[in-house]
Amino acid sequence: MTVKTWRSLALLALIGGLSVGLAFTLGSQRARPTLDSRVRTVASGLRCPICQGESVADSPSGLAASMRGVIRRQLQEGRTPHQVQQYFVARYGQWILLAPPAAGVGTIAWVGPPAILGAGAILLIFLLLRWRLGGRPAASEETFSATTERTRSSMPRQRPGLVQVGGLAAFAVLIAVVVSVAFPGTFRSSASTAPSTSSGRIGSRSLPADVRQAAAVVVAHPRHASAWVRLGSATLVEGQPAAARQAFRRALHLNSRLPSAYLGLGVLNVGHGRFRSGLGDLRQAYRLGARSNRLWLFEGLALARLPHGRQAAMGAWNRFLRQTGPGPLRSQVQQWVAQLRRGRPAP
Amino acid sequence: MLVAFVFLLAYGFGKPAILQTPLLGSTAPSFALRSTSGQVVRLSNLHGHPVVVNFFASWCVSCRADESNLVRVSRRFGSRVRFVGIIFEDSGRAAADFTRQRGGAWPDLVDPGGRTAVAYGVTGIPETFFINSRGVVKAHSVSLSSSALRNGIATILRSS
Repeated sequence: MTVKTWRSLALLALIGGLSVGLAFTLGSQRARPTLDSRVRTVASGLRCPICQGESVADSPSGLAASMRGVIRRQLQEGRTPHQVQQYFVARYGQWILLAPPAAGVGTIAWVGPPAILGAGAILLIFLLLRWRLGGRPAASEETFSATTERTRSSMPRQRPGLVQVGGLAAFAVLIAVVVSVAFPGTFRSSASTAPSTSSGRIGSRSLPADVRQAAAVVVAHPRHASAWVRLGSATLVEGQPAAARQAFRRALHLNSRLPSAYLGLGVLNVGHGRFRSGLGDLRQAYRLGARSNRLWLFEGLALARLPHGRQAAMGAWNRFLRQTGPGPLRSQVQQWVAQLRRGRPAP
Repeated sequence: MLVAFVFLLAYGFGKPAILQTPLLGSTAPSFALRSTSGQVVRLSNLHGHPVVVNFFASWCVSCRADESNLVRVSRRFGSRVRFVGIIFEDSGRAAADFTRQRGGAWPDLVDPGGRTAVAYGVTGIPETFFINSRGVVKAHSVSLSSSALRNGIATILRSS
């Protein structure tokens, strides 16, 4: 072989070696998830103990953040995701797992829905066959083709009766109800939380100017938590609590230490009679630096409805009165304070 | 299927409203935390004494409402039982102000990153764990009522 051939072979070997090395590197990077993604995977399987239907991965609460910290530390120490999950089960119980265990009563949740769907499919096939055969049951394999032939040649086809259609519909509804009870969230929409402004409408109501303006800011700056708070406040004022809650939660998702988002959630919860959770949100807003008179107003309203909270409610409203100038709201709060002082029922 | 549906509902509604900690009967998770006054408190150093561990915060309405019960019970059983407060999601300064107003002569410990709260499976506050002299969790309460505190302490004194 000439020197030129040797050089070519060496070059080919070098390129080949580099390619294989690169492929291994890329492959191992793809195969080995980062610590962040492993923490997220474990946290997604755990229920946030103080939230409603949120995982530890998605919750903005302080306790969920602590739990994520514990997961991270344990993974760094070399524990497997299963061992970390078992650590939480040992402390909180089985309910901390978002997916029920495939053992004991939990088996129903895993086996039930496929079994129900399978039974529904069998029933559907059975009913369709009966319909094709004109209502006669297919007695056996031998008579099946003969019966089908006879049906095709001599009998007029029958449409499914109202009872059959009704039965099928009722069956489908029942399946949906059972599955949604067993797995809340199965039928939840996965649509984006970004508001639609292309038609200038949310739902079927036309948007007032301030909501439209706030929505436009969100569309322009979807990563700005304060834009979502503004949208939440605007929708709250317009009497759209669901949209407002979504906006405040989105804000907290972007910035879990935003006092105005907690304040908005607190006002929303207190306004809807969820006094304890509202109070929790308002306290969180206070801890993060919120000092607006709205905070004291709604804290007073929540405290006044809680056992042993009347004295504290008066304190909150007095703080509100110190910060608020004359007006109808001030007179109203003065009236409430006088009401509580006289031992009358909370507003 | 209807029977299965009713069974599912009955199973769900039949569960107790207050979740009991699975730590009952197990060794209490150890901790070594710094108190608001600067001293380090280790649970292992308290073995040999029944211990009441109370998770609390200055912003917690129920903690404020029932703080007097804890102080009263600590004065009554203080010679036989050790009391420890662990601050939950609160600044050490706010908690120290709160405990100064509250009274009570037990250490309040700062829990960095909430790791001890997670180790005890805390879901909210106030939450109190009653640990016997052998370091086993024997009772647990989410209330600071006098009866809950007295019952918990009686349990750990009996089993110590």
